[in-house]
Amino acid sequence: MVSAIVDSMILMHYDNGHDQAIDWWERSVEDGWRFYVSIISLMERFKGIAGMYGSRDEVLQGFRERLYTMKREKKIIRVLPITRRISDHARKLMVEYCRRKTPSSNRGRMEALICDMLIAATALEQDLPLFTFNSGDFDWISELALKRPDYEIVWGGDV
Amino acid sequence: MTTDKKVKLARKIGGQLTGITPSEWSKWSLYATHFGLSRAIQFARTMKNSPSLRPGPKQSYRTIAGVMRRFQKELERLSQSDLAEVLGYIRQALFARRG
Repeated sequence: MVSAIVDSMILMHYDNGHDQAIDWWERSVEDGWRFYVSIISLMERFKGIAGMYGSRDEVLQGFRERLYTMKREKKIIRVLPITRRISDHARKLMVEYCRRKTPSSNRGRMEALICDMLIAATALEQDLPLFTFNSGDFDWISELALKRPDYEIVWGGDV
Repeated sequence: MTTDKKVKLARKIGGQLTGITPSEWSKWSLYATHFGLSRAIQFARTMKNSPSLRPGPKQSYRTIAGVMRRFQKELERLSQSDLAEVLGYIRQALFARRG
């Protein structure tokens, strides 16, 4: 059994019903991977689906039910909370990031950076590798083990 | 059943479908409209364990078998044309999720 954290974009691909992402996730679980998700990814997903067509309550409830199913079927082992240690670690990562790079002044990118630091800190505190497509956002954190899923999204390919 | 109620039911069902692709849904819907809901659910239950399928499509059938069984009684009260309509709205809901 091997464990890892799956980042927000991969969760979004799966939940959005992309063949390649579902195939990768299911194959990995069959191969014995145990996937964890940060509460931050979950919050990002709630934000992402809120704009969908239909009753807001129904849309949010739908995601809650899908998430429940994923946990019941062990597609997600656990949603990892932000502990005090994780928030301390994330703060240190952010300080280090600011020493090395110039953070964007764009509000959206700033929010994304904070989310990334919290997810990276969660992976480090839990001693888990992180599956992500955004290795460029994390590769300066030398102690963080990054993995890239071996799928590509083909837009419009699976109608 | 009014169109509003059909759309509402479709959204409720679609919201519960996890790890499913619109393409697998379309194939299964076609089967359901041709052979009936009960047989189609049985088909999904067979396919979810099929060794010839990739893990992704297997998951699609697993979720169809689980979710559609929960709504089977409600859907069986519908006429064939209403059922086809609801299944079509579910497909739209799955596409809408992609944004």
